[in-house]
Amino acid sequence: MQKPRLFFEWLLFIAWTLFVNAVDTWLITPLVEDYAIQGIVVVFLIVVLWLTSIPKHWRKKWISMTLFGLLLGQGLSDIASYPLHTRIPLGLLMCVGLLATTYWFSKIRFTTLVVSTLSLVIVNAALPVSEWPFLTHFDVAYYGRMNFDPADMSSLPISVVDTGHGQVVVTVNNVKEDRVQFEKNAANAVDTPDALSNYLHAYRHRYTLIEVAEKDTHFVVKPATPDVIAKIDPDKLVGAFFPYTRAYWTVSGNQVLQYMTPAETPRNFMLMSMFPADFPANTSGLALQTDSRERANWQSLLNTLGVTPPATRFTIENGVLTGKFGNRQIHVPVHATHVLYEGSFTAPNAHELLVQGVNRLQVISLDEGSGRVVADYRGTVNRPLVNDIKIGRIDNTNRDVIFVNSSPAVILEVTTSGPWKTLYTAPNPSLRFEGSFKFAGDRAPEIITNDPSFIRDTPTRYFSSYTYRDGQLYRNWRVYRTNVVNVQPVQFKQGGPTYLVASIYSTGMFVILKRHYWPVVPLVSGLLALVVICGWVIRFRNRGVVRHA
Amino acid sequence: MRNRKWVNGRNIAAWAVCLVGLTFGAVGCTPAQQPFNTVDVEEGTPAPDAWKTLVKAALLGEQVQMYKIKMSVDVARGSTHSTFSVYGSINVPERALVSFHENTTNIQYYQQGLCAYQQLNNGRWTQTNAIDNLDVFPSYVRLMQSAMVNNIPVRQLKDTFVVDEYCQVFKATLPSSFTASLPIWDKAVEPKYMGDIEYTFYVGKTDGQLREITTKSVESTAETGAFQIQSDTTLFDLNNDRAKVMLPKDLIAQLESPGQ
Repeated sequence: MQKPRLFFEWLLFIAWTLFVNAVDTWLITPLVEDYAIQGIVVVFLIVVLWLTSIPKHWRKKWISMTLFGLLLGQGLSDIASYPLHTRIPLGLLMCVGLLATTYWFSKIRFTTLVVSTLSLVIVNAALPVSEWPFLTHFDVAYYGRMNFDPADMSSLPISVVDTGHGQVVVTVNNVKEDRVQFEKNAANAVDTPDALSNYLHAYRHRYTLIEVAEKDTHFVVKPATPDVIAKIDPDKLVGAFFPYTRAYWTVSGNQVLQYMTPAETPRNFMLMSMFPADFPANTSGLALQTDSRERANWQSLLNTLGVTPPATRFTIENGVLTGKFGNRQIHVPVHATHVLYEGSFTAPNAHELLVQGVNRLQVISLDEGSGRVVADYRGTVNRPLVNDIKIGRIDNTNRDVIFVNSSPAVILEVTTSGPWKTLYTAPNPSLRFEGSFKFAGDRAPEIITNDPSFIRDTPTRYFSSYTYRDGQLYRNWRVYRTNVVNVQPVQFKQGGPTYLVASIYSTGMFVILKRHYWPVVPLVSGLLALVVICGWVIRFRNRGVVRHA
Repeated sequence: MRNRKWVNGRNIAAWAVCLVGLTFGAVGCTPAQQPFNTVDVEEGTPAPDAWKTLVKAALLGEQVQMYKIKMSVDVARGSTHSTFSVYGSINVPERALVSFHENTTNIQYYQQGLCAYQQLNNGRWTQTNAIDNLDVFPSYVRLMQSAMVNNIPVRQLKDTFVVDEYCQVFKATLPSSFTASLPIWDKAVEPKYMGDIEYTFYVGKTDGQLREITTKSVESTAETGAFQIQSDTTLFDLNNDRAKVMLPKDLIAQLESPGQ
């Protein structure tokens, strides 16, 4: 009898330790973060209901175990981003300290505490509690931790590359410098007069380009291959520091390294600062210079690797869009510098291009002759059309709309005459559109956003999903995770499921998410209610026993 | 049984909404309503004589012997943005110590007369060519005089504080065709694709000095598409001893022992 009972006790305590962490991330945190004072009151209510439901003789153990689980879960999750050589001693200290304190105070069986601790350690190693918020609506298919110094860039860059047989995700990983190798590689810094000094300054601040691909049922991370690098848009790698800092790329063994240096000398920055009235012009000029230098460097990297970037279907040079559509030659004068997207904007199934200029968008129809401009839109100084623009669908007609992340963010529908139709204007300055995606189980496309609390007046943004209906957005779900940036869809296998990849701001973490439809929050709420009710029933019965005795 | 009181409280409806909302992930909510702090271009009152006030302030600035500058330029491209900051002291016309910062960039420029040094990211100072006439005000004088000649409309907004001084606030949108015609500091980095620029000028009410200037604009490069630039320049400690330029200690140390 002893053994099964002990086993049952272990199981119960493991389940409870994990359960309280789930309740904390999925119920308590959202209540506090999104529902202001009402939320706090409800949390108080939940705590009181739960506390009073615990039978008296279990109370000390049960509460100790709960606090122990919450503290350890939170603690292990907090150190999850530390490098291994600090994480292990800190984690050990945390586990042993909390375990000893709890044991001394609650006299819970020692082995039970040990197995509970182990379960939390294992679970946190797989996915830290801080990322559990995603689990309410996503499977975290892959949780990536890269070495990363937030001083170098604000978040991991994410670039999704089509390999021809599915897509891969490209990001960067800080190199753990090996002094010998570092000095050996220094001999390769030959491109520019200052290449050697730039290289040497970047010691410990160099990043290797890596790719994440799906292989069979798991994900593999390896140095990005030349074929993948040929297809990367280098802009995606430099956005966090462009244009005042510039990037260099070199080859080292089978890896491509990226490092950053100031884009100009202190003297030139000084010269520039003496003309502050011209900051916009100066910055714009500097951006052109940084951009062309980086592109030249990228091109020489591709030459070294012996690969060529795929030919772009359409290009804009000197205000003329050229390209080939079917067997027709496209040739259209445009007020634009950049091709954004090929889609259907004025009508379902139309073949059109969206191009962007300075504060201007144009739609070019490819369906007739050599193409022509069918729609035109201008931003203003106050409502600028920056290139933070997402294209997607809001219903099941095959027509694309434009999500413009200005402040406020707007959804535009292209019309061929007059100003474009504003389908939606965000009611707060912080809402950001991350795109619109239709996952396998969706009836209509989900509009993914990062947007602030419903009640609290703060700009803190949560990862959320909405559906557009009659000029309004209605929420499908909200994941109580902040700092979710660089959100992009990725299809690792052709015809396979669509995943979302995103990096977590100011950390070296990224997640690959797969949408699921389990009612996680209602289930956990139900379980919690069940626990409370069972407690009350037991208490009521016990009281009866005491009275009759 | 104290919780009974809470259950029967007046806020029961709010709790119910809250609990139901929570259980179902607040399905059906619309995005939050929050106030905007950006203001519309059309607000404020027309100020036909503003350029006169502004030119006068900038000319007055040219008389200032020493001052401190604090500048930041924010460039937003895609979902990411970067911020370049400048901080330092200027003693007109030939003495300055200014530092520049962006991510891991921490570099400085020092000049006294014809001696100029720049400090690179590795902390070493190297000699460089001195810059003529270190002063930020002439660039504003030139901009404002041209704008005045071109009769660009200005609006005056509510007075506000900048550092320690109550200031008049003027706002003007300068068309790209106009700003593109202004000379640029270096031909090598001439911009190609410029948008209109919204300038906001803050002029001290008591001393009439130019205190702060902000700009907001959208620019573009051919390859990367449009990006937004916001700059903010604050000029302070005008003619105050705190703005006196001192020889940096690490420069002295480095030059004293050249072998290091």
